[in-house]
Amino acid sequence: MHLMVAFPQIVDADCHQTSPQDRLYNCIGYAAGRRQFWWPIPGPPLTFWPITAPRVLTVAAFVTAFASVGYQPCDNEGLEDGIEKIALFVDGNGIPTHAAKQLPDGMWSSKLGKLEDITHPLRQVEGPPPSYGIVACFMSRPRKP
Amino acid sequence: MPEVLISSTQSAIVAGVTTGHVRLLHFRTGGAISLMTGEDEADRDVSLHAPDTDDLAIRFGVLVKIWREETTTPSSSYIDIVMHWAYQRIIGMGAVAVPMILAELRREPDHWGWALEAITGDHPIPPEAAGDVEAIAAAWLAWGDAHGLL
Repeated sequence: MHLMVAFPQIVDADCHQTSPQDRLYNCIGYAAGRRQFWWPIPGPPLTFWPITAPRVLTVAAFVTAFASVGYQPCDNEGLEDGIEKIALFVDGNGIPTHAAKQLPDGMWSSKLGKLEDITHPLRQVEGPPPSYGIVACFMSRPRKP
Repeated sequence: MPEVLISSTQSAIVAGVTTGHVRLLHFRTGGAISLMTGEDEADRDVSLHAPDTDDLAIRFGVLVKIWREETTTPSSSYIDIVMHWAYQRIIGMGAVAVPMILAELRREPDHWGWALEAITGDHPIPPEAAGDVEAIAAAWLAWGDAHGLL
């Protein structure tokens, strides 16, 4: 699916592909900095999900999961020296749909499902499906050198 | 709804799928397959005729192709990937699909762990491999080798 179809708000000049398509990791692992993060599913563990987090599709569960890799909730998306931030998106029912991470220049980076990584202004991937809904919360942690 | 009858060569079927909009698959005895185009999900159907081995391989190939194409989207949900209708139909093929899945897995690691577990009831994945698609593929290939399926 062409990006402009999935994300009508994307402005072509602002958005850049930064990787080839890759089905071996997804947005959650990409944002967490640990590719084994996939998605909480029931049953025997095929996907990694921190033992501290409930295996449910809620913002609280995702916040707990990201906390296991050092992220804590924060108030805003502003760029701060030495801090990396993630944004958690939810659909109209409040179910998590996506996570994006902030780059050192203030742009945001997303892994698009089984597709590629892109850089983009944060809000340009918001919108109704197949866009990612709206940003529900931000989290931050010290940026690793 | 237009219908296209194609003699059963897998390349012809796959080529038809890549042109898009192939939604309805009838698998018939004797190798004849009809592909009907349409967007209505209710029109999707795979007949319940007992297929021969060639039909099974073609059915598997077509379903894999559709699953890959339709789950290569911006959606990141693992559930969207493994609950896709074509993936579910592969699970529905049962044990006969296992060698084909393993061969596919050997060719290219992908999210086949859910299907293999659903069909076989086994879970050969070490805890440290959870979420690592390539490690899960390796674990299932070792399982397949141990069971003489590769």
